[in-house]
Amino acid sequence: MSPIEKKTLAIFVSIVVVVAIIAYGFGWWSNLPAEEERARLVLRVGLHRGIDSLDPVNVVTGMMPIIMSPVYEGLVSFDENTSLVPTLATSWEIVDPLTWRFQIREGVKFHDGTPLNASAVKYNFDRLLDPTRSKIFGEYDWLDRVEVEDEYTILIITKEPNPAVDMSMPRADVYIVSPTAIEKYGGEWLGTHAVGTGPYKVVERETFEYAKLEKFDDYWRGKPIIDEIIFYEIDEAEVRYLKFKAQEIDIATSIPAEFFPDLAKLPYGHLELTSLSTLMVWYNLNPWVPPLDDIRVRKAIWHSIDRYTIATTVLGGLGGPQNIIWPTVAEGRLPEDYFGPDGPYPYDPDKARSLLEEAGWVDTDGDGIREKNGEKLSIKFNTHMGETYKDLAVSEATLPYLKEVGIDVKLEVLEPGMHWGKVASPAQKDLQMWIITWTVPSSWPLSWVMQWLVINPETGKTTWTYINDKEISDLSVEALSTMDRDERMTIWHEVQVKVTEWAVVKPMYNLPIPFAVNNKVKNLTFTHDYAYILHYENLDIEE
Amino acid sequence: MHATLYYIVTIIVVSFILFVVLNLAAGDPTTVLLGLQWTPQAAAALRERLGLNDPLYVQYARYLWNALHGDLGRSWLSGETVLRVIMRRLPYSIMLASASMVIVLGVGVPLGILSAVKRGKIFDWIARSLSISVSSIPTFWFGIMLIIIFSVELGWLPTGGAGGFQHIVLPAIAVASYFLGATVRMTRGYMLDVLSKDYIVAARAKGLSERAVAWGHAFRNVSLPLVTLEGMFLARMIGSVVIIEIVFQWPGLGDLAITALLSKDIPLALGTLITVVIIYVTVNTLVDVSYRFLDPRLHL
Repeated sequence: MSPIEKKTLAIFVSIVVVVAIIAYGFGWWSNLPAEEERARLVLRVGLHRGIDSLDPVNVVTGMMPIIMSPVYEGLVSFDENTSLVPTLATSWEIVDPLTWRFQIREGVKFHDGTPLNASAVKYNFDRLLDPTRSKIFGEYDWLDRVEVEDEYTILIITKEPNPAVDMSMPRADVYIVSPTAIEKYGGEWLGTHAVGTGPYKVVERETFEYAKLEKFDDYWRGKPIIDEIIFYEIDEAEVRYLKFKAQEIDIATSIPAEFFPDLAKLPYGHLELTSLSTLMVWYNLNPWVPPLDDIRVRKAIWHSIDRYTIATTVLGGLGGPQNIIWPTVAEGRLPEDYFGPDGPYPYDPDKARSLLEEAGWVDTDGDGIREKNGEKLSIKFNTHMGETYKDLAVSEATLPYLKEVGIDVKLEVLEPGMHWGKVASPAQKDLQMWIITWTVPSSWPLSWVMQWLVINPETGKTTWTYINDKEISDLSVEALSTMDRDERMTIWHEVQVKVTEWAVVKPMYNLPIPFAVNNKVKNLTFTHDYAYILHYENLDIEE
Repeated sequence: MHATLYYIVTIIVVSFILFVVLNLAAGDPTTVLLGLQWTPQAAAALRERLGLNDPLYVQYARYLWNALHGDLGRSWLSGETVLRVIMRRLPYSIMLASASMVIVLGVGVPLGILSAVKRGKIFDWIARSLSISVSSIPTFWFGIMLIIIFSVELGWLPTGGAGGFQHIVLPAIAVASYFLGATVRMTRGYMLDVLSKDYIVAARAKGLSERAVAWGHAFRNVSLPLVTLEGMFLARMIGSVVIIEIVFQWPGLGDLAITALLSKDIPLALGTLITVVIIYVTVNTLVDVSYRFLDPRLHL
């Protein structure tokens, strides 16, 4: 080695050593919870999406309950079969068509020591309904007010008869927060802090990074077993899985199907699937713009798509093809074979071709794309690049089917947030075909019906579809306030048939959420909705 | 005085451009901020709450006034103060950039110098090939490979996060790899240029050793353009290594800016981008100042 090389090497080694010593001295950056002592029982969960806010009435992503379900509780919750179980309310009854009475559980304390009572519950509902403090107030347009009857009894009074007030109570929007904490710190503080009644309390939170929870010793159901839970928000599926493989996390949510074979080989891990997902994917068409204003073209599109092959190939068998437009667990859903074993518009390319020919679309120049009056049969399909549910891959897999029957499709791929913005706004007249993922977390389909089927009085249009059918809208509103269950079921069935006849909404598949779980995690149960973990108080870890 | 004025005006002009572009490009932020709960009524209430109904120039004036008083607003999503979020993330960005710069300087500069000194020899060929190869590898893939080898298979280092010194090693290597090739090539180029100058020939003719010529005469003259180059790299490392930050879950400013932009969280995006601009301008100013010390003939 020449003198220059020796000196260069010496300088390099010196720089590295000096920086290493200085860097090690920066103890202040080791405050993140990566190196925890193993004596405590710690559960580490890697989540597939970041959570913007912890505030129940100001959150955007539907993921919030995953990290907040051990912290907050509602009056009522779902069990693993999506049945209602008493939680902060011990019982409830219908007083009259407009009034529901809920009995509040006694002896429950918030994490800050505030006792739970009827006033605390009313405070939360008042905040929920206040447009200046809540983003979600519009979802509770049906709710008139909440009154305190006595220290442990509240009355929920609705504007119209509402047969399913109890069904709305497990929603994360109506998690009960300590009113003392809100008054003391203000509503914005709740974006990164939480004071609930659940088995765990939030001790550290960095938005889009992690949340560290510690067990709440005064939990009303008894002290939990695990001392600490850390939720890491790891967007990249590959990184999340590698972290699980390196055993840095014990549970990884939403693992893509391509990792299943590798996961099956791991001696310390296994796959868990939520049994029935409420997460459903639809394709939508805008029936008010050409060429989709011709119902024969819409029907031809649906007949040309083979959902079964897409679900088994692109989604690795994970997706369950759906025949009925209604959300999977919503009440009144028609039987899956109501329109036949493959649904109302089964895969039938020949039928698609004849429908297009009947509509006057013929391939005259032999390029494989049909024409009419000199115009090519071409549509724009809006999709997004969100990786979790493979929406882009599914959309891309759809194109050859449409091409096969002579329809040219141009894919417009946007970032998921931009896509949402595009499909939510009724001002977007240029939409033709788009993909949408939605979850209806309970058997009461209120939000889905309101957003998809009911005409908004302000805009005169439906918000998330372009159906704009007054009869469907009126029937839906009627069903939402029909107390008699049988009568309601009849209306729901009629609505589904009418929406199906429009041929604007195509149910594609539903998706159970796959979790990679370390074998040392015991007593794990999931809900269907949002796929979050149930019964944190029973969770255990074998060290 | 002149430099300070330039510094302030640059930041104000850039902040105005960013403010206008972000607000115009983001479209209606209520669609993202409300998600599935979007209805015309909820959107109208949210616009009122966020002050979005005011004209853009009023919104900017309010933003600037508050910013001058140290208030960059609150994140529309989490409700945290933007300043707090940035001040938490900034040290991580500086740390990652510093560690990466150590690798780039400690490996890239010596390799470049030796390549120039040994021009045309096997060392030169290997050094150039290696540096170009490392820089050509896609950073996402390189990062994943580092995790698979050193974390999953060997178990030597953590897969990511920011929990201690060992957490910075892999992301720093990944970031450095991106800038290494350019550093080696540029250092080599500068050195070759200087080594062909008359005063170097004169130094050799005086009988000075090759080491003395390379370090004592050539390298001193290379340091000026090299500082400019590495200064630019340092600024980029602080705000633009998004992919690496995502792969290694490093809580830096790049990842924050992208998350804020995609979420249409304009106050957070704006605050983060302005911070990155301030870093760029500051580093460039420091580079300018350093010229004076490196070459006393220059005056600012």
